[in-house]
Amino acid sequence: MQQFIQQLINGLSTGALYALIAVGYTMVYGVLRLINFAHGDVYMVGAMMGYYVGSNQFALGRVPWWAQPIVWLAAWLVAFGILRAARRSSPSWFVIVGQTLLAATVATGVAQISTKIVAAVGIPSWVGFATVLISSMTICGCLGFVIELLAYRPLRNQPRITSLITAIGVSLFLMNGGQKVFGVDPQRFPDLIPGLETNPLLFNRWGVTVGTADAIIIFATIALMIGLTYIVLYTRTGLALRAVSFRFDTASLMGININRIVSFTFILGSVLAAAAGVLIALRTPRVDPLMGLMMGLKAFVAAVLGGIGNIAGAVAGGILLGLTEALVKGYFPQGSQYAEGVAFVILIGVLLVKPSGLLGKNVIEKV
Amino acid sequence: MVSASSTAVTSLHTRCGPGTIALLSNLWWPALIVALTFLFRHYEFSGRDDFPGPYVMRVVLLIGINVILAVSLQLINGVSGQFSLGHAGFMAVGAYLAGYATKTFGGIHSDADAVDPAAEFHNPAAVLLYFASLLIALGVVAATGWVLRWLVNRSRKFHRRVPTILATLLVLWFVVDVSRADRANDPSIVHPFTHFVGLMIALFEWINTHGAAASLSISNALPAAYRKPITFAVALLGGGIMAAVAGLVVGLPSLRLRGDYLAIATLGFAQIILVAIVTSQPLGAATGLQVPVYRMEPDPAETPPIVGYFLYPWVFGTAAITMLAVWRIAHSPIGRAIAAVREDEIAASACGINTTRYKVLAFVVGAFFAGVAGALYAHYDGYLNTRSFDLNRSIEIVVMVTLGGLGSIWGAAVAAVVLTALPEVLRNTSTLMPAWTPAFLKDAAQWVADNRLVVYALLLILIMLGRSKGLHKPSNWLRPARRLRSAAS
Repeated sequence: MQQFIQQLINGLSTGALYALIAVGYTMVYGVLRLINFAHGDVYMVGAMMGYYVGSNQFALGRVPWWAQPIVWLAAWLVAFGILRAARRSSPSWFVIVGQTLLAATVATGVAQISTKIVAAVGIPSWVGFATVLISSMTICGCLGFVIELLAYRPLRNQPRITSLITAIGVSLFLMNGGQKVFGVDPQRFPDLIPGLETNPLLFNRWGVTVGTADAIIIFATIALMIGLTYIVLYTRTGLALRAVSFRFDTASLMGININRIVSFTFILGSVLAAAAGVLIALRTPRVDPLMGLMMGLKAFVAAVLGGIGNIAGAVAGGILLGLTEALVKGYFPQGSQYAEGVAFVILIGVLLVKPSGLLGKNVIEKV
Repeated sequence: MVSASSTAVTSLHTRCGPGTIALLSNLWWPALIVALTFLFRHYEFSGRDDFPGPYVMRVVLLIGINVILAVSLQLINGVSGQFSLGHAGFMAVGAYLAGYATKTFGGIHSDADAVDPAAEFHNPAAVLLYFASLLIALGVVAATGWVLRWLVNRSRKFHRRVPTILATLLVLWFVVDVSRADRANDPSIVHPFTHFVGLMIALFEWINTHGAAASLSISNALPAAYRKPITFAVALLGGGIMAAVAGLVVGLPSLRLRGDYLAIATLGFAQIILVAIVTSQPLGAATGLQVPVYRMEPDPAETPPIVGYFLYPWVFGTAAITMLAVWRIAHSPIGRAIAAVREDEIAASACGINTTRYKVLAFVVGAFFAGVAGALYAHYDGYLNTRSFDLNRSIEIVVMVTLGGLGSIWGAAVAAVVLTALPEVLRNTSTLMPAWTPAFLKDAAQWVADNRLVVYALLLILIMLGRSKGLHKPSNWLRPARRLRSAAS
């Protein structure tokens, strides 16, 4: 019984991370009907950015520190200038260049500033943790925005299989480019939480232990999910998002700026994936460029399990998947090897029995 | 199917069939490959011991294997319009089972565990028996499953629960079995008559042990010169058939899904296959499996060398057969049904086409050739590890198919040749490029060779953005791809 409860707790924290990533899959699928293969790699980039910001390793160019804000501001002004010019007579590549530049400047600027903040505050500390988390989320938001802008937006009217292959290409690019940029070897993530090393257990009684990292992961997930629920249900953008995912063309007839909403969806999903990347590093502080592959696939399985396109379903599916994996790991000999396959067995089972997932609706195909 | 009309204009077509004429006019390419294979081996290998060199030889063989893989995936992804991301999984099935068969049963054991290298590939009947017993055991499992499914489907209101409970019990039994066999670390310890899996393993082993003497005597009755090629052929076919069975198992449930779901399902199945291999002790688990290597180059003692005693004609013969088979399927009535399913599934099923059947057919044939390619790869490399069959491998084949143009068999083959040869060429710029080549070009080539996968990824994205119809037609290089459909649906 104690072992059972222990496995449930372990599974809950893994499941929370799956849920965070699965939400990104499910939102993008809901809006664009596209499986965003690159999402797992955005999660990897999130973890990597957390590592780079946290361990003060951002050395972008040879510009001295006092000149960096100036360069950054100049780049931002140029980007805004391009966008303002594009508003008058807008060839699409002009807008694309401007927005990409804008996202890039925001990402580099945030990376620079937050690295300085973390260096000033020093880690492990709660402020440092928050800075790392927020900066990583911002950078990945920009990354998700750029991915959608450059890779998926031009293909929106093409057959779905085209975008799917592109998504695989983006994933491959991030994974292998990551191996070149970040190096192949796993890196040790810096300690962010004060006292995590000396006091790793929050609760240790009756043979059941709860790790501090697990508790932080679960609470952070709950907080992020509350924020997401607020955005989706109680803001105008969220209303537009729901409208777009309900009926794409009609929403655009209702005066909703589709491009903005799709970009917003990608940013939201990427932000949550980056949060998952930093949070998992609290528990297993090893980050490497291939960490996103399996995690992304499993999170996708979680999204399918819960009913893809359904945010609550993604959360439920993620937690269910985490629990199942933990139980298999705990109760099967060689369980950790089998656990790699369990997600896919679940996937096949779901697709066989109820392709719409646990909370999904059955959609009848019409000609 | 539309029956051929009997007007005067089409009389030629009705007499020998449109497929035959088209076949004759399109046969020149595969025929060329076969001819090259069987003609040039004489000139290339006799008297010139080191001309191709072992490295070039390996690259050339790998090109052939990749052509088989790409063309067979083209049948699934391009011709039938499904999207499989698990081709390397089928390749793994073929590679591991064929490799295991030739390793364990293909040689003649002179003493307890050592196999004389000269006696490798000398027992075709035992290899055949191995695959037959595997198929029998699988058949019993399938029959059980089918009976259960029949019961579930037959059950009406009152008895509805019974077969479901039965099925659940069977699955539980299976899980308990696997865990016990695993705990004991030896499947044969599980008592054969109380456990289903144990029963199947016992059946499998009973056939193999009791048939060993008979199969050896059959093999000995064969002329010695034919034993080696026959053993190899049996291993290749067996690996292909097992992969086809795997394709059937994967395809039947997952081909009810469409497009992107199918991609994920096949990917999931490929992962499951890899996990199954990694956890299986007889297949070498995580450390990998050593497999006897089929002789790669012809025996210098024999002039002209005997066809069938080295890998080159096998690989390129299979490549030619694969292209021919895929081409024949694509241009047959079956192929037209498959094309109809690809273009519009709902309309096709409204026309009376059994969509699932044709999709599964394409999938199974594709898996078969992937299995054969895997078996070739096993005996080419001599060492099997699951890392050779992971997602990256599948994606690499998808890149070949996409680059070649979805639906174009020649495109896939050429793309496979180019994408396999190019990194090797670029890696050896110092020897292949003339001396006066500027250094930055050499560096660039080296960079491309080192960052092959990054370049693949960029190519994939760029081709999809600009030339989503592939590069197989020169006219596609200049003109942007036409936008076909107005809305994503």
